[in-house]
Amino acid sequence: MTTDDEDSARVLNIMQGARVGPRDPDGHLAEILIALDPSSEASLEHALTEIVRDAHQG
Amino acid sequence: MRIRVESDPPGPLSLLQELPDARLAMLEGLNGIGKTLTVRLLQVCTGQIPYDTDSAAWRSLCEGLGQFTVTVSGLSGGSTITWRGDSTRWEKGPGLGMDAVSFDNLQIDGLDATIEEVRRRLTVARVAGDEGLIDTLAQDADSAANSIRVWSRRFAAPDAGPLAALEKAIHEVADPWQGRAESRNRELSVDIEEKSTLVDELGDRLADSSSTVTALQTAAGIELELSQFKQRAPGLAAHLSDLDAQIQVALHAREALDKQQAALTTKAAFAGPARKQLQNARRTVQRNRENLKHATYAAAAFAGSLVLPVDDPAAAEAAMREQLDEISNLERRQTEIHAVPAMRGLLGNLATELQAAESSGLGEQVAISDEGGTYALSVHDTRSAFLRRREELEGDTPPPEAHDLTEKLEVGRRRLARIKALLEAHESAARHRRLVATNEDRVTSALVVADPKIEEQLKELDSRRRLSDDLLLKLAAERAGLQEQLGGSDGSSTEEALTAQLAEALADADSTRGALAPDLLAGEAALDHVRQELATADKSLREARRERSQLNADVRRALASLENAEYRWLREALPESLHVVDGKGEAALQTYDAISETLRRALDRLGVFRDQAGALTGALRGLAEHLRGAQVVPGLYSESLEKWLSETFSDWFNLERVREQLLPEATTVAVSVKTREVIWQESAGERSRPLEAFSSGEQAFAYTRARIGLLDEASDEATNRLIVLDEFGAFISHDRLTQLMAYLHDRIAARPGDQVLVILPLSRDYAEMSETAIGDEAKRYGVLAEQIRSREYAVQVLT
Repeated sequence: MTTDDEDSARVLNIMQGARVGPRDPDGHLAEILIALDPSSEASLEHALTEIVRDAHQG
Repeated sequence: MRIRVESDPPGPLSLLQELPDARLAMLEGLNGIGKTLTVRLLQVCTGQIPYDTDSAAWRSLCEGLGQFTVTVSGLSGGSTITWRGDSTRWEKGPGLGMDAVSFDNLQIDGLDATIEEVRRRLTVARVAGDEGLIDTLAQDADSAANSIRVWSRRFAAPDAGPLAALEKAIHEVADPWQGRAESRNRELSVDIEEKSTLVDELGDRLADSSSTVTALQTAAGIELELSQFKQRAPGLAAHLSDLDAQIQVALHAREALDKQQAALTTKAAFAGPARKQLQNARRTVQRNRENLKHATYAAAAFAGSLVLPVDDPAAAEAAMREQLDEISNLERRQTEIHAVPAMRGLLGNLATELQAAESSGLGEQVAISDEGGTYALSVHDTRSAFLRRREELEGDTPPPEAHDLTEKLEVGRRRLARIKALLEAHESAARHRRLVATNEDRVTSALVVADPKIEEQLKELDSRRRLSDDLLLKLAAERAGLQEQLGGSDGSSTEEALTAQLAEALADADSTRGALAPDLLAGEAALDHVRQELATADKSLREARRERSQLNADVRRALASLENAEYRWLREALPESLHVVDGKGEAALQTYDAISETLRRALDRLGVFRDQAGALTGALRGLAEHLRGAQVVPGLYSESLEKWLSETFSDWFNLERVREQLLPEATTVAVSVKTREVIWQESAGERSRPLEAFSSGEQAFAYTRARIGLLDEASDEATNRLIVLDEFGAFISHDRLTQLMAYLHDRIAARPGDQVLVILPLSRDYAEMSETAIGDEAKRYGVLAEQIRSREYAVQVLT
């Protein structure tokens, strides 16, 4: 595991810890960002699809 | 492993040049020689940021350290790691983490390497002896806050990185999706209906007002004409009387000549055919003179009404050129201030051309398209659009100035028509004059009789008759022109007629002669006002129509863009019910609004994420300060993170190693960050203790042992580890230190990759101790005293 991976895992853990209600930190978005490779068109499109689909479902 | 540090700090900072190469050693030194700073540098070299990169401590390290070279050799596996760098080039600022650090050169065994590769070979752990339990817990909360900041900087920076890439992509696609199309369309439809009603009402008012002004202007025009007539009538009447007298004289002379000519013709002995020929020639001359008279009268009447010379075709031609220029200027000015008539003409012409193209089978061919291919209009669609636009323009109200120009143009065109008629009359007169001359020659030729004397007399009489006819025609033409100026040949402009016309016009205008001028001024002002109101209302109506057209066009274009390959991801994200692309009707507007709202929510979600990260950081920092005893106002997430930290710290306390050291009687332990206390269960029941109580004496020693124990249990993939127990002696008494050393000595065998260094402040005078001691002990103290003297610190190797 790289230091970046460790940082990401720790941030997700903190966000999980702060999750108590509708104004929770967006851990799912954090996961999308961590998985995203901005230099890859396919990766970007996949992330965008997921975000817009979530937004539409409210 | 052997650790060497070469540096030349530009300021007052100092560094140790080397650390002892021993599995367990104790380093005692004077304050200010760089013991802790050396360890901090080693932490940075192995991928740990020991300070917040926005803190004064970090700035001091960056600015005070300068150029350095760190070499670690003799690592397990035989590797040598070398770092070279210049700390003055390291970055300072919030949330930078290891991104703040760069090395000029980082090599493992002479080959370029990364921090990740370094960390697989070597890590550095610093256990601070001057930090109690509260400090550790607070630092843990601070560290969590720092992790969020560093991570956010990498993943959620506003200008680059994953979040910015997503925002950019959605912004690019979201631009045409502004939303509120359905409600705006409804608002505009209501607005257009109201404005149309207003324009219709103002149009009616304009017609009424215009009619009133026209009647007043007619009356004013007649009044002016009457007044001018009265001014010029006396002179003209005298001239007319004079002309009548001259005409009477000429008529008498002509009659006398006719009689003489008739008598002489009777006396003359004409041959039968010759007499017949003379009669024919004279009849033809008479007919031509009649035609000439009519043409000349007409020319005189036109010239009189145009106030031009009666018999001057050149003057009429000059007047026509002048009138054409004036009309051309007026038309150009009219196009400038009110392009509608010109545009309607242009659109009509284009539509006609396209109609012809459609008739030739070109109706479905593309006539207009934009560069990007967003839209394409067929010949048929283009023609329909031109005709629609032409129809739209029909209702356009011209500005007030345009109305004046239209009236001037009408007057100018009427005058031009009269000038043309004058020129035609001149031309007709000239033609008949030529015919008269030709036929007079025929009469002269026919005057051939047996008696030469009589023939000569006849010719002389005929010549005088011609001159008399010419004079009569000239006088008659002059009289016709004069008569036109005096009131027209039809008698419509006589003083009586004009007076009657004025009375009728005043009645139509509902005015009187005395009130005519003020009534006209008031009427024109009211007309201008209505015109301006109508122009404003019409402009507003056109703008509303244009906005509604633009709105619907935008909706059509946006929905059509969903078909583009580059927005495939957007189609995939939307449900089938929103895959509407025909772009018409309420359904299209609703779909457009739904997609706009979805994109807005997606952007909001991305934007809010940064605020969330900031709120998490703030809450964790606040909790750290709360743990340190400060009064902190809770913020967003404070409550949930307080519980989370409490659970995390409770888990740590419940580790067997920690519980055995700190609370050996406890069965379960819980930490309350909120009340800053530790609560545990033991056989005697529930007990609690404030966090401060774990910061001194035996508890501090136990706490340190617990922390070292946890290091031993941590999964660390590095093959070498330097553990530094720094600043010991602050809380731990000397006898406890002996116990700690024994503990460290005992664990060496089980940790072959560890090298442990205990750093203490110098608290003993080894020189004095060497003098009072005996034997080997005196010698050992002497060596330590010498080390202190030469390099300000002493090292005791314990293994």
